[in-house]
Amino acid sequence: MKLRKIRILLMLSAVFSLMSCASSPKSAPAASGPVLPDSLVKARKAADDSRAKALEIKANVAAKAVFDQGESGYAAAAALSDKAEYDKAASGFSESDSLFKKALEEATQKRKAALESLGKADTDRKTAEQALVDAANAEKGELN
Amino acid sequence: MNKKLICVLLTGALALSLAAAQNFSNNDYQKAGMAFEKQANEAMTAGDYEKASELAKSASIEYQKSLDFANVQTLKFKAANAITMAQNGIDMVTGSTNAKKFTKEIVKAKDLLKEAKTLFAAGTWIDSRTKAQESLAVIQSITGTAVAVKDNSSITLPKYYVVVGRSVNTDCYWNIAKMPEVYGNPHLWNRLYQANKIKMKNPENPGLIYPGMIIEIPSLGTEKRDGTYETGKVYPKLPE
Repeated sequence: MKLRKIRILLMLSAVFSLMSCASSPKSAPAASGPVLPDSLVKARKAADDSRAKALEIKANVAAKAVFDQGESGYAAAAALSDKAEYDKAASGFSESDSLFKKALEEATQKRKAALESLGKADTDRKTAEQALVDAANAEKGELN
Repeated sequence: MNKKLICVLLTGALALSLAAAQNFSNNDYQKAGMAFEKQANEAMTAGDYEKASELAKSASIEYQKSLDFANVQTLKFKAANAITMAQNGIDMVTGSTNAKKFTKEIVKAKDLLKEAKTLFAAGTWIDSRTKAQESLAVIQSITGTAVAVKDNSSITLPKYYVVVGRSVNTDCYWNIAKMPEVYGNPHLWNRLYQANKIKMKNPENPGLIYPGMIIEIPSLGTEKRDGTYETGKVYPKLPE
C-alpha cells in the first residue's frame, strides 16, 4: 500500500515538473542593436550592391582613383553610422554609391576600348601571318 | 650508304625549308607584336584595361610592320622568280638548234631581262617583275617553234648533285650543267645558279661554289627529278 502511494506521488511530481518546463521561457531574448532608419539601410545596401558590381569588372584596378574615393566615403559613412549620426551616414553611403557607379562606368568604357584594341591586334596578327605564309610561298616560287 | 646519304640530304633540305619558314613567321616585328599582345592579355586579366589597350595598339603597330615586311618580301621573290623564269627561257632558246632563227626576239628578251635585273637591284620589285614577265612573254611567243616541247615524263634523272672539288676540271655551274645526267648543255648553267643562289655564301658570284654544297637541279621540262647523283650509275639520257 505504501509502495503504491509512493508510485502515485512520483508520477504526480513528474507531471508537475513537465508542466513547469513547458510553461517556462525558453531563453532570454538576444540583445539587438538600435533600430536603424530605413533610409540609412537602403543607402548602405545600394552602396554595397554598386561596390560588388564595380569589383566584378575590376573597377578597383581600372578606375582606381574613383573606386578608392568610394571606399573612403563608405568607411566614413560606416563610422558615422556607428556614432548614430544616421542622416550624415545615409548621405555618405549615397555619395559612396555614386562613386562606385562612376567607377563601374569608367571601367566599363576602358574595358570596351581594350577589347576593341585586342580584337584589332588579333586581326592584324592573322593578316600578317597570312602575308608571311604568302612570302614563304613566293620564296619557293609557288606564287607568280 | 647511299640511302644514308639520301636521308641526310632530305633531312637537310627539310631543315633548310623549315628554317626559311621560321625566318618569316618569327621575324622581329611579328615576335614583338606577339609579346605585346601577350602582355595586353595579361593586363586585361588583371583589370588594367588602359594598359591592355595601349599594349594591344603597340602589338598592332608591330604586326603592321611585319605585314609590310612580308609584302615587300613577296614582291621581291615574285620579281626574282619572274627573272629566273625569263632567264631560263632565254637559256633554253639560246641553247636550242633553232636559236639563230630568233636572234631578234632573243635580243629583245635579253634587253628586257637586263632592265628587269637593273630594276631589281634598285629595289623596284613591281617594275622589275613586269619587265621580267615581258621578257618571258617574248620567249614564250617563240618557244612553240624554237624549242620543241618533248614529253620526257618517263625519264627520271637526279634532283641533287653534291659539288666535288678536283684539282683539274673542278665543279662549276657550267660543268655541272654540261653533265648528261643534269642538262647535257653547259649554256643552261644559269638555271642551276638561279635555283641555288639562295644557298650560296656569296649569292652574287656564281663562280663560288664549294665542295659538299648540294645543288638542286630543277627540271628542264617534263622529266622527273629524284634522288642524288651517284657516280657510276647509269642514267637515261635527255633527248636533244
